[in-house]
Amino acid sequence: MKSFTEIGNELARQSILPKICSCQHNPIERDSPHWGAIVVNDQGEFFIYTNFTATKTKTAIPYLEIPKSTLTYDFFERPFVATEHHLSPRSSSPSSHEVTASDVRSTPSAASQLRVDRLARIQGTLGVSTHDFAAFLYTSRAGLYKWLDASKNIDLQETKRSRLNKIESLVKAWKECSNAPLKPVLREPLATGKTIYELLTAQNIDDDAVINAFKELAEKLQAKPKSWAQRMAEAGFTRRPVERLMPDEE
Amino acid sequence: MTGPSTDQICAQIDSLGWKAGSVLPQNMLSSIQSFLRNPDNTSPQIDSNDWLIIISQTCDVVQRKLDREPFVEILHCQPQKQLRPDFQWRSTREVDFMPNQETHEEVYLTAHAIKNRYSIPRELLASHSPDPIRTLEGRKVIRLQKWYALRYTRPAWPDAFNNRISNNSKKKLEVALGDLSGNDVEVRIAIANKDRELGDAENYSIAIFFVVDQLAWEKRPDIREKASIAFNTFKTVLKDCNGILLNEELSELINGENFTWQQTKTTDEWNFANLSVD
Repeated sequence: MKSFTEIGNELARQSILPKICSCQHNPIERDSPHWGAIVVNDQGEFFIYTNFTATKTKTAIPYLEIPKSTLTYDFFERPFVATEHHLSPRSSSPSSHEVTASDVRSTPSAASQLRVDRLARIQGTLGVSTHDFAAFLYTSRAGLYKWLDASKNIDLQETKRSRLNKIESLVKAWKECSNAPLKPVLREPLATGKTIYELLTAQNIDDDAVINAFKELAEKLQAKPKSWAQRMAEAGFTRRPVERLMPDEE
Repeated sequence: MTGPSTDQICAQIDSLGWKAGSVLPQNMLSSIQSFLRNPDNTSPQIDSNDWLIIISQTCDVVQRKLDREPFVEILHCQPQKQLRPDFQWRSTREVDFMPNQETHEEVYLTAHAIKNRYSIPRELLASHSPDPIRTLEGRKVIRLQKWYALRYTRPAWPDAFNNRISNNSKKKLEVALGDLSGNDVEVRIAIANKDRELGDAENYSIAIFFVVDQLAWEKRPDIREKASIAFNTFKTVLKDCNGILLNEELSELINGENFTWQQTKTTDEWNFANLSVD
């Protein structure tokens, strides 16, 4: 397995990351138009610093084999903390960490997949239609279909990225309020007379108003009558267990 | 002197523990050999390591009236060195599988649905106990039965449609489904012109539905998120297939509560075995 520094140097050599640093948590040259840096701090934690223009940094992240499940960070704006285990090879292949030309070619789709995963995760949490989700993101439905297509390499504009970050952070707040999807109460009138749909589709989202609305709606959801499936399950009517979706389980 | 009554024979079969997934013991081979016939009337070669597995439903195996179920069906499975990926429940003709991962960790079997299936008189079971060592684990019994059911009930998608989904795409679709549980999510597909073999100039229009169990939808954001990611990846792969046109607007990740009877009738459950052409 290559060391983190070796990988970083290799990425720099391949121009995936324009700048590589290994330092003790020092600030990096943030003024550079395209920069990305891998930094190790004195606790041995690794950081990937980047600004959003460094598309190549996004391509570097999947290369580094950081498990997708850890990708809860905002890789557009904030540092990501990777610990040593993130760099462990997922396959036993000794060449899994070697940079090859084909790796570099194939990484854009991996980066696109990360984008799709991120968007899909948010939409899944909310349980809303593509039409409504597009309205939250201040884009068209057709535009969102493109964003949700991992075969397309797309660099989001700054305003779109900010909007996405905003929605993502609010979705986290919703998850803290409720496990339920937001969809059933999307157009439910709030005490203020507005709906959460209106609040989330406003050009300038009022965070406090949204958070208060989430709390109100979570309570409303709890007070709703039990669903048909819940009543059936409680009465002992359950579904037959079924096989996994995948054909091979051997 | 009269032999046991047919009722006694059936009771004996039940008490010996015969059921779906039981394996015929080696010492039973001579008594059933004459019932095992190839199409050319020769006898199949049965080796000592082969598994003769009962695939009839247990309730039929132990049916109390002999004349109601005079025969039981068995599947002749032969060991092989490894599983062939394309035949792990992906073909409706041949199957490779592990019969029991707990007791026979390194045994891989193969069989052909029809060539290796035989019927033997049920009463023969009354004279023997099932193989005490070898038996199919429960989920494999269900899997085999479903595999047979699919052979007869699967929707026949046009070859021209199946051919447009390359092996590489199939693999990607499988990866997209990842570890989603069939208990939480059902994948369904609507195919326009599903009864026609279209020429290269025409596209198959499709819509994809990931139907999420209502309770999971209401209570499990993690399942909604996984399903949403899988849904979008699945769509991307299909959109990439030449000659397939995905209708994005109709495709949906949907709460099971809202998936209607009408939608059920207009769609087929996704199954990789449906894609087999050869």
